[in-house]
Amino acid sequence: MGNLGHMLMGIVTAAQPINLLYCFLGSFIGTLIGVLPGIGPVGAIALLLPVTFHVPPLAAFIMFTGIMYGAQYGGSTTSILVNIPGEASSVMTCLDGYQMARKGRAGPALGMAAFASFIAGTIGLFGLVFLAPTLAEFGLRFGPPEYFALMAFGLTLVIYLARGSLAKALMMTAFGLILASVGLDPVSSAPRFTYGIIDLRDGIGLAQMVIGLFGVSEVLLTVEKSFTRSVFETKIKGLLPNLKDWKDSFYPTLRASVLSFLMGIIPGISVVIPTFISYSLEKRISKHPEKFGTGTIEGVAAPEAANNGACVGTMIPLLSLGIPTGASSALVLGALLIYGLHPGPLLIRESPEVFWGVIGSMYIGNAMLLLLNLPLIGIWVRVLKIPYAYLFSSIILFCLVGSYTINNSLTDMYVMILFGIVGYLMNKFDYEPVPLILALVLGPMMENAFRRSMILSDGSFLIFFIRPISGILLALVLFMLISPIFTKKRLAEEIMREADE
Amino acid sequence: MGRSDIYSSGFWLVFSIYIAVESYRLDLGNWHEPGPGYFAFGAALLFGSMALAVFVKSLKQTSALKGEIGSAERFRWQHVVMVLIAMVLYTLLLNTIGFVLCTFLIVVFFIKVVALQRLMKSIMVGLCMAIGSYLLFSFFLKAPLPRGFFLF
Repeated sequence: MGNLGHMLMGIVTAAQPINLLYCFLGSFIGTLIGVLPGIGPVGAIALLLPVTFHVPPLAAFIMFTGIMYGAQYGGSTTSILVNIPGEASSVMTCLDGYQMARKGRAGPALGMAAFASFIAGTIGLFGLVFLAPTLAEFGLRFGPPEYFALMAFGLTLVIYLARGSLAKALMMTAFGLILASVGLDPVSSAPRFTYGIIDLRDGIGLAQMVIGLFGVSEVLLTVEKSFTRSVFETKIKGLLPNLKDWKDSFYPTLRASVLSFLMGIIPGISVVIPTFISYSLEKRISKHPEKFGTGTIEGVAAPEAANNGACVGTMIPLLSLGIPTGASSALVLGALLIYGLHPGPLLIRESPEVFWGVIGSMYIGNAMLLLLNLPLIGIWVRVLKIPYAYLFSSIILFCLVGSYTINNSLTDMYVMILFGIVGYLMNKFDYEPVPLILALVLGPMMENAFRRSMILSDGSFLIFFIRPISGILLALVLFMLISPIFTKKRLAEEIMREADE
Repeated sequence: MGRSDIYSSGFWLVFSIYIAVESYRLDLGNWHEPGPGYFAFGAALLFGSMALAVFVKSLKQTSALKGEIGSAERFRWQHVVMVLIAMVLYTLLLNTIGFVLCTFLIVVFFIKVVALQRLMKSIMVGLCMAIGSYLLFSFFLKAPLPRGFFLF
């Protein structure tokens, strides 16, 4: 059976009632949390993790991917109507989307955001169908040194592309690796950093930690500010973009879709950076760059296509190599490991229904989101008007109950509160949480790969450098870590400067 | 980098030294067969060296910019502390007074005291959220929630 045959099988699997239900739930919840401030897809996935313990793994996986791409759709609504990005990946949409809303063109902006997202999602999925199995085939040649080098490469890219200080990003990575070593040693079963607490023998729960870092800390950051925010009062009519809008947006959408999909594949790039690059690229090649930022439709189409294209791209390393590229996919990987699934080169052989079922569900989910978003814009606008006093109470309540229901343990709640405080302070002191989460998820796998490599090589570090794949990857790692010392510049800084301009 | 970085990197530096000592005690093993403390020790070394670099750099910058106020001094603690205390109390009392009452109290506290809404409104929202969340988690999601001495 060829890839298209497998794809059809995946769509049939995804169209089974239970999978369809969870696909709808994921898309709906994703859009909702994209619209709502205070909780992102990472926090939402962490909160829903305990709920999915009774659900078939494929259905849970489908729901989580639905949340990931649904949040990209939902994030555009707040960017256009409130000038507050629901997600970091919707920051660029604010620039022209909000200006369009001020000019009375909120409808076409919202419509184009949904259509561009759908087009990018579809293009990305075609790429996913053909690239993921090829990469998985390639991944079968990987041994422990290659896996260690690939994970080190992914982590270093996250560090390299961090917005703030390189040293602080490295610190958070090391912190994540230390937290990952809490629990029983995988080789000798010796307890590490457990201090006699039985609940810590299995390590620090990923979900509790993420709920604290991304859920509670976001609420704490918001409650110290104002409880009020204004939604731009305008009548939203004519959601379908006109012919000129389509003409102006067609090529930017295509360019952003392909570019962001390819960028999303690279571990560490994730979803945000492609939106900046796509927007900057369109501005640079446009015949009227001065109109960007004043309410031009290309300025909405390009970043919206980019965040969805990249979101699909991030699934490739996750599904084919078992390597997450950002916090959301790291959490999804953590969840899959709990269900007993092992994303990686063998997933496509051992569980083809999961591999192709998820891809099939993404087709269905993208179509569902397009159908959901346009008619339901009115509901999302009303959701935006819910007073924050009620919202933050609900979010905190969900965080508390969500962390309790993982193991029915009060210790988990304390861990969650502790990491809420840590996340809040990290934000205040400009430490990014993404390298921490990625290191926490990759830590046990990295340690395992490292120790196996050392045993294989009889204690020689050369094993990492004499094998071509790991040698090249580690050379890139060294380059990324050393080059900023000489150039004093990093790609992330360049991108942020471009975005600021 | 400012004064806040001196505090944070100083804290992380002490933390990394502690982790390095603890992982050394766990047994580092050898090159041929790394022990349980090996990986954490390496991570602690990286952590400590970066924390030291940030500490020294921010110390130099702060002495150059005397009187600069770091972001740490501009925090608005009041609401944050209230929310955190409420969460800890919720966790402490959950098993004793039960999910419904505990949830009602925390929501009323948030809406009345933190968000400064009217009392009646706070009570109504508290009731709705307590009953709604109980139905959602206990009936629909079958999560075993603590009942406390009121048996609900």
